[in-house]
Amino acid sequence: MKGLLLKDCYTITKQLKIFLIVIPVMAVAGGFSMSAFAVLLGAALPMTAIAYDERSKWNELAAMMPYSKGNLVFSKYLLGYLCMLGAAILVVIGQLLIKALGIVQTDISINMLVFAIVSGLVLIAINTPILFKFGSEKGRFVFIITMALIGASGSIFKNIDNNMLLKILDTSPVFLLGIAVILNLISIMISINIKAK
Amino acid sequence: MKAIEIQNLTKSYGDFTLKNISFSLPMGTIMGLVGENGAGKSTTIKLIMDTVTADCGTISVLGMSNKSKEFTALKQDIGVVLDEAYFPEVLNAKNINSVMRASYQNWNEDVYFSYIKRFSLPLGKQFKDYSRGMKMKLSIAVALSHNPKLLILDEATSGLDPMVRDEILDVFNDFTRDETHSILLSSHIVSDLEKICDYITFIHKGSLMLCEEKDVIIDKYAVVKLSNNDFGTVPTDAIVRKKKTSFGYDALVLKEKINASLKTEHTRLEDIIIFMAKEEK
Repeated sequence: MKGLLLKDCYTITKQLKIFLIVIPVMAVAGGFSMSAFAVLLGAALPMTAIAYDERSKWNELAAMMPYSKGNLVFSKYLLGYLCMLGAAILVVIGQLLIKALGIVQTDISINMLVFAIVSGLVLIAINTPILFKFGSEKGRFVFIITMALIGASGSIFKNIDNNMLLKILDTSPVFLLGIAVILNLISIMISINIKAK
Repeated sequence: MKAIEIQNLTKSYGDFTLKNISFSLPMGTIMGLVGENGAGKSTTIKLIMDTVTADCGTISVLGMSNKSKEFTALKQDIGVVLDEAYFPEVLNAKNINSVMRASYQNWNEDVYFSYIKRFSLPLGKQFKDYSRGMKMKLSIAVALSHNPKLLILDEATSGLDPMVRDEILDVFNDFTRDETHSILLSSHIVSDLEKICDYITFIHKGSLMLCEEKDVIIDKYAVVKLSNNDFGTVPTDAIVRKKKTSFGYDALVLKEKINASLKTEHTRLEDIIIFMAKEEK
């Protein structure tokens, strides 16, 4: 598994330098909605890794290596979680920093951060099996739709009730996280099944 | 124990079927898997490595069924080179060392870097900038650097110039000096297989045509050029394949069944394979 992650890290850092600059900048300097978007971008990096695997036909070689299908699948989920976690940490540090420097006065909203993480987890859960099944081209299309739906959900909640999203998050962030985790477990099982065929 | 043992292997893909293939690779030997493009060589290799599922038949590798749960772990002992190398384009030889060190328990970076040096491969150059020969050499270096007991090589010498092919064949020969090491080498370049293989398995349009020791094959068959009159004197059961020519017939015959006075041509393995693949019975 470590080898697979290392391979993806090399690929992402070499091919996506601009992404790796944009995410920290968004996390620190873009206000909270942009920061949340940085977390979502982190969650999207496995899609890019899968696209590069397809291009180099790495999957054919990886299938010959001592990795189970479960390892091959889970490494992509883990990559997404780690990238998202990295972006979330940058958001927290960035937001604390700009508050300490007096640029903004508001406290960091943990609930909004949870919303971003839950959205990222949902994105990974929906998108990854589609990527494994249909490839990165079609997967990219589903990714854009999912991102648009997640973006639109904020506005929809706001239209219904200005504080509806915060109310939902206040009710039980742990509950939302739990649902996202369950979705991911189901998603991983579906992806392993797809890979096994 | 056999390095590979295949029995009654069948796999269908649309209009292609690999039909009832059986062969075994003894430990310490090199087997050439020969056949035209699309004959079923790569399918056989994928089936051996359990990356595709057979319709029926059994395969054991290094004494273990490739359907057992432990087969993934056994892949630590199998070095594989595919017809294209398939490393991520942006990785260089150093990055690949790190990835493989984290993937193979027995990864030996001293061995790896000694091959990198032997093959004159640049350490910092990205994989996409390597030539075809360099890519294959890098793949072979990787396959040899985790102390494998079995090498499975799919068209590892195809598309390489004769100098590089010769160099690589020397490496394979060195590998099998250890009698616990074995190689299954698929290729459509029969001359390469003739140079180094102990056994030849010939697959044609998904069917097994031949599986024997190379020296036995070369001793057993010969090509003869016959006039129409001479052709009638050769026992029919001696003729394996025949081709009508303007002079008479060219025929692939079983040496032991023809009259010793009949002059045979110098027959290479390639001639035997081509006759079996192209000519009528």
